[in-house]
Amino acid sequence: MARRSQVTVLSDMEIRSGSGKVLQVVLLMISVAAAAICVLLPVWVILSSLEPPAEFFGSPPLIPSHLQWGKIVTVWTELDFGQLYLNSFLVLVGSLVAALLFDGLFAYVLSKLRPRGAALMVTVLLWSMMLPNTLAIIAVYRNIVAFPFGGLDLRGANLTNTFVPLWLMSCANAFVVIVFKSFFDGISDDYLEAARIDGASTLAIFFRIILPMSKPVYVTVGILMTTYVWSDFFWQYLVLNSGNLQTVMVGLYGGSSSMPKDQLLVALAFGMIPPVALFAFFQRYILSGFALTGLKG
Amino acid sequence: MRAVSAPAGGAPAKAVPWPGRRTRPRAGSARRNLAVWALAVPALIFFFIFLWQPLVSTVINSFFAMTGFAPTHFLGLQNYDVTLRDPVARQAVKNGLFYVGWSLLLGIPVPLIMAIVINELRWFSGVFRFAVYLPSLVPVVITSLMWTFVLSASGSGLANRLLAVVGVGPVSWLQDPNITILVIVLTMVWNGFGGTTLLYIARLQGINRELYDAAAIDGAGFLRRVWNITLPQISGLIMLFIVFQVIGAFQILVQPMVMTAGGPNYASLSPLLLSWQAAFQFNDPGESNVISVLTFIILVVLTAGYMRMQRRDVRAARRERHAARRQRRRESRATISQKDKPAQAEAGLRQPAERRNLWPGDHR
Repeated sequence: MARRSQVTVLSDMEIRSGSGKVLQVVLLMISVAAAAICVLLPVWVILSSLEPPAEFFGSPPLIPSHLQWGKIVTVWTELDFGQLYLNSFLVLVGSLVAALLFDGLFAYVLSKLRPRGAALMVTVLLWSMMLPNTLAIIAVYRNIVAFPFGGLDLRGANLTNTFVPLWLMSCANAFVVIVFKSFFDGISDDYLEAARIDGASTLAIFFRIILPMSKPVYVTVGILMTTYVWSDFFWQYLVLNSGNLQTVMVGLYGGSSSMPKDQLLVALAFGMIPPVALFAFFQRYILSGFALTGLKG
Repeated sequence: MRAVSAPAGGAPAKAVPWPGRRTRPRAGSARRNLAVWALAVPALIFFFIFLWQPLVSTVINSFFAMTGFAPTHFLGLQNYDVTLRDPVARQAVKNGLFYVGWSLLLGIPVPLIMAIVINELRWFSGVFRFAVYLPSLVPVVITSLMWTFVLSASGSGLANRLLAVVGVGPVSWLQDPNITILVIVLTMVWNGFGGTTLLYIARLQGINRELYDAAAIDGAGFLRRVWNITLPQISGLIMLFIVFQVIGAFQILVQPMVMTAGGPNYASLSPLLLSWQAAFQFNDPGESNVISVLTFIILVVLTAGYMRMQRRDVRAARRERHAARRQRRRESRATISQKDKPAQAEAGLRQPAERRNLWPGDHR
């Protein structure tokens, strides 16, 4: 819509001229092509996964003549999607609790309490954002196999085939801390002073003043974290190698080599639906999250 | 608990236009500092166990012989020597550079062009914004598996079936060592360009409309205005994404792992994929550590460059803001007409506000 507030290269008046109209049509065509590649591909893949195998492997790609809904049940039971969803959900819940609670406190310390060394710690976190722990696969894996430190002879706990390392790893996410910190920075210190004068403790100030004022950032980070944990694959794959603990992504990867291709596509649809549904529900938060964080996770 | 004392001097919170800058530690006793840090201890421990200690220990262990995943005795540079002679490792490093090159060639212009196009649309702009963002909702593993299916070399692949209609093909796509990296990067661009496009669009809306009006009076056409106004105005954001693109490309791991497992014949083996394979499949942890450290060094250098760039921008923005404030003060003293004031305030303040959005952790 041509809202007055929109900043565009050509003015509304120029758009109404002949060449302006031509340009609009060209740009519209480019957009339609891009949108088709973005949207039609997943849709077509999912639809064609439901066509009968004979048609599926037939030569020219066509709109399927009829859909075989029975495949959905076959695939669900084959990969045990009930279990996969449950496991992904458990990984997600623990990750959310760990990240939102501990990283929130961490950011509160850095933003509002500012002890000696806080500025240095912020620098360390900015560096940590750029250096993922996949740069140290062996060392991280050692710490998981002999938690907490594989290097010391502590006879640590073997945390493979548990969700714990995945939860804790979500907490070790510098991006989350930085986003929280920048939001807390915008909360005036006056509120804290007032609470302090009323005798509130440091922790009480966090839970009673900061948290209630930070709902938008918590929702945004929560959603980003959800899509992130849902899509995470590498560490889930390394940590959860026992069958009944596998998550959706690990299960899909495992199924990709053994399942018939048309069934695999149905399975992919199962994995795609939750994040898309999440987006549909929280679209406003996700898109405003772009403004809030400035960056995507 | 009254551990947190009011700031000395008791002159809190003058309206600070840029709150992130107030990171200077407050005066306080050592005990107060420790009590405060205690709140951050859980997060600090997890950062230490799952990121900081492993990074340091990988660098150290790369100089040691490994038995299983444990270092045994010091070897000096022998791991590096062996790795750099290994043709597979060399191939992985070379592939890493190709991943970066293709990521820049495709990943930078595509979202930029789409942002300018969609921003210019008078109709359906919202629909297209949603459409280009949709692939970003698809998890990496699913994107990779879906494209593997679409691009499968056999007759069932959608791409080859479409090409067959036109009478071309079949193309081997991922199985062709000459284009496999290009194809993988294409799927990554598909997966990720939507978010970048939306960020560009947000920035395009911040450009001063008067610049375009002035160009219109000078008779500049659409492309000229894009080239001479739009691109220079958002060059900072473009630079940022170039840096992120390079850093991201060096971290590629899951896509080739799922799509090709590094094949055919190591043609799509990325450095971090080799690091994983060497550790968990080839039983060669020494090589895994060396490849990790080499990638680590590259990323540290890039990040250092990025931080320097960031600091320079912040300083420039601050100078600009101070200059604007001085200017305003001078003008109000000279009681020049009130009309110019808002425009100048805007010119001075817009820049830092946007920087803050870009880089939330902005600090000194």
